[in-house]
Amino acid sequence: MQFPSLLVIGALVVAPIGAQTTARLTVGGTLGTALASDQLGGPVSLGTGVPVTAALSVAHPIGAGYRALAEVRGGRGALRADNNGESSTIPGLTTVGLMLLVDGPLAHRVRWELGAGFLSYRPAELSGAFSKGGPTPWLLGAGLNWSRPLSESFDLVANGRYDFHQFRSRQLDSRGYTQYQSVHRIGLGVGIERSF
Amino acid sequence: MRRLIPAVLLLGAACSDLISPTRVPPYEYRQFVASGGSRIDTLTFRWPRSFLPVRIWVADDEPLRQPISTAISRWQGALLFGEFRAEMVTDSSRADVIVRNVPSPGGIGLSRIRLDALAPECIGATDIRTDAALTQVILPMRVYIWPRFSPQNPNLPACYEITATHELGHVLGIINPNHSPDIGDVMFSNPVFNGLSDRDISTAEVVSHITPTLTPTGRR
Repeated sequence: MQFPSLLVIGALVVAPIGAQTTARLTVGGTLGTALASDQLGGPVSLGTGVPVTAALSVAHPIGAGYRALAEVRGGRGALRADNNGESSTIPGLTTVGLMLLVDGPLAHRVRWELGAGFLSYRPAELSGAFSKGGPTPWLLGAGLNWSRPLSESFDLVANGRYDFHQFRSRQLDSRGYTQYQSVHRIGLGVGIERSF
Repeated sequence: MRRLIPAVLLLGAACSDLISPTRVPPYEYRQFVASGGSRIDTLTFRWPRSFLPVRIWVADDEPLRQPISTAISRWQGALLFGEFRAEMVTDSSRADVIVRNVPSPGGIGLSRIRLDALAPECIGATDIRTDAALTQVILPMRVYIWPRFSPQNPNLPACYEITATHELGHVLGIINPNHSPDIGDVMFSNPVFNGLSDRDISTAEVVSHITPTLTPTGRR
């Protein structure tokens, strides 16, 4: 599924767009723990570094200050391989996350959000742990959203997000790795929110 | 109590780690050379991460492009943590490895490691030039793969694939001239297995994490 398709699905989920519906666009970065690790003459691991992340979400009120959100979050960066203290990067890893969330008021200008979805790994290069492509694990996330009005219909927003998923690629699977690697990620972004 | 079950499951999921597979023992990958008197010197090689991706040149019109591409995919897929990556380049003057579809030249000289393969329909050789002190590999490495009999032999493409994978194993750092003793490995001296065995993979994993005695130099 391509990125534009996910955007369309995200938009349809909260249809019909009407009064009080908002759209939010943020740009930032995401820091994550290792996707895979092992002991091969010493510790080796594979991670995503800090990819640039953009998130687009559409929110619609569902009553009593709560909103339902559909979000597409894309990241573009590189795989980082650490081998016994020696590092290398494998360029061109894209992640696309699709989440459905609920948010609600927490404090003045601050809202909480909680949701679930899927995260798709799309490597540019089929090598190493991604030789047979990238997996699409489920994703759980929670975050905080701060906003400040800029005009009647635009707000400045800052978003902090924690999420986690379980990672194991088909290549790792075929090589006999079992269980899953828990991957914890923290993302920060700033952007604008528009009310319709 | 039942309310706790989802929380416990979630906590378990959030804390899990991959469990590594059991690996088969590797075969010998080192080269042992006489080093004055009765002393034996051990030579090992692997590509430093800063040299990745390794640049490989094969002429456009040569039948070896596809077999080399297959060999690259195999070894890249075998090493899961980005230990080896290679790319085909169009300019031989920038290559770390030059592959040719011609017989290897005779007379390899003193400062050169020659590693041969003798598959049923084709022959392969990898020349790795070293400095006199046996501490550096002078790039480019040269790989030769050529037909034993008629170039029209229908089994030649498969033989090229086997031999390309074998020679790339040498390029990767499996530089034992005695090769694997098992016919089930692509690094067997007269290889017939078209792929990578568990032992090939296990050996490549070990090679990729050693502290090598030889380091590459002369990259252009």
